[in-house]
Amino acid sequence: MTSYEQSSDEDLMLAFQKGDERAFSILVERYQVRIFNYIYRYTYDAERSEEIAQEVFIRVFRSRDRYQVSAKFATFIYRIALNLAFNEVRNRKRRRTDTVDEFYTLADREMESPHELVDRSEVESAIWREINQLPEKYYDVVLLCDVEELSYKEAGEVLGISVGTVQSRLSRGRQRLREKLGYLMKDQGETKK
Amino acid sequence: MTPETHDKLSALLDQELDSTTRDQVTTELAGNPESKQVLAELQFIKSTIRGLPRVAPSTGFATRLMARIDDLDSESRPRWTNIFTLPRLAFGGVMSAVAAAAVVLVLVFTGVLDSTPSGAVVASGNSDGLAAEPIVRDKQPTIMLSENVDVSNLRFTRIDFHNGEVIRVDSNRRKNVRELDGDAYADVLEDVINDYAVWLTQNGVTTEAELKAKLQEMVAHFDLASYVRDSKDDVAHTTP
Repeated sequence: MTSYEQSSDEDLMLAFQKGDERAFSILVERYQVRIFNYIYRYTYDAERSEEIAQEVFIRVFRSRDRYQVSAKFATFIYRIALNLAFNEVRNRKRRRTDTVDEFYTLADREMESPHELVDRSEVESAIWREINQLPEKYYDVVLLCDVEELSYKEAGEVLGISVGTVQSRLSRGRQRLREKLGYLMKDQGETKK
Repeated sequence: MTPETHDKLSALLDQELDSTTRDQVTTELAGNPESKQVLAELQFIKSTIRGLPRVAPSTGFATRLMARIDDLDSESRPRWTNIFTLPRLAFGGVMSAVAAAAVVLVLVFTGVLDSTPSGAVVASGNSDGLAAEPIVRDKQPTIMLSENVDVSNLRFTRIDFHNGEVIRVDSNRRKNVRELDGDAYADVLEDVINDYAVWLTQNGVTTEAELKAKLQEMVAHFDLASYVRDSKDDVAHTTP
């Protein structure tokens, strides 16, 4: 039995195209949190995000023969996710909210002290609040490049814009965040002292 | 600071500058405290955002997904419906003769499912004794009407009908045809008998030979290899 743990996403898709559904399962494992998180950042509705994330993987499953191995898998799946998330937002006629993240999971922070938890929680809430205030065109790029860690090229392919546009929008988005969140940096500097 | 300079600092941080521009920006940085400060702030923003925890789906997401895919995978195959859909009407005259059509099976020899169009369509027969003799044509799906077909070395796709619609398609499973005649299919059987009766009547079929000819004609309308291939990417294949 082939071990796919070290395989690239593209190799997994190739194996999946040849009929090995284990390869698809590994892709699901790798991307389920990323895709869910990405969609959630547009809908802020956990239940719907989960349904949409499932639909994303179902579409990947169904369209496996149309996937070109020359394309990055991340681009392929994020593009599907973005389209579905946009449809959802369009249907609901609302997009992001400035709601504090309802999904605050503390499971992986058990080692932190209560004070640290509260501090981190506040910082993270503040960051998301400011990210959510960004104009959509900046938000889309910040989400893909800074949250999802895609390259400029990949983000451009997902959003259907040039690398140069990704660069300038990301820069503008970060500039706004700098202006809004500069105090956090100062706070952190003082804490270190 | 100009927006262009800010763009370059932001891109420098992401290692997205070409080598010439990178060297140029790095040189400028050395003598420019303001740019250094901006770069540090950008670094802080970027690393803080990247450190944000990801929201995760609920437990069992992947399991539920795979279950849905299993369901959809079988549901996605009624592309055959267009070929086999038949209007439902009461009809009794040829009922017993067409009981054979309760379940239609596409048999594919083991190992050739992916590419070779060889195969056969089987209508499992009833005790009225439709011909047990298989009709075989090379490289084409062909019809066999028999309840005594030995399928031990075959793979097949089984199609169940209800009210003229395909309600279930199973493929790539070995199973003896006789297993299909259990109680579990009694309801389906009745509906399919009616449906086939209507279809056969509309097509002027009243004898066993005509039934076989009609089924064969029906089978000839689809390309098994295309069906198998298309079923993988959900492209409808419904040659009328």
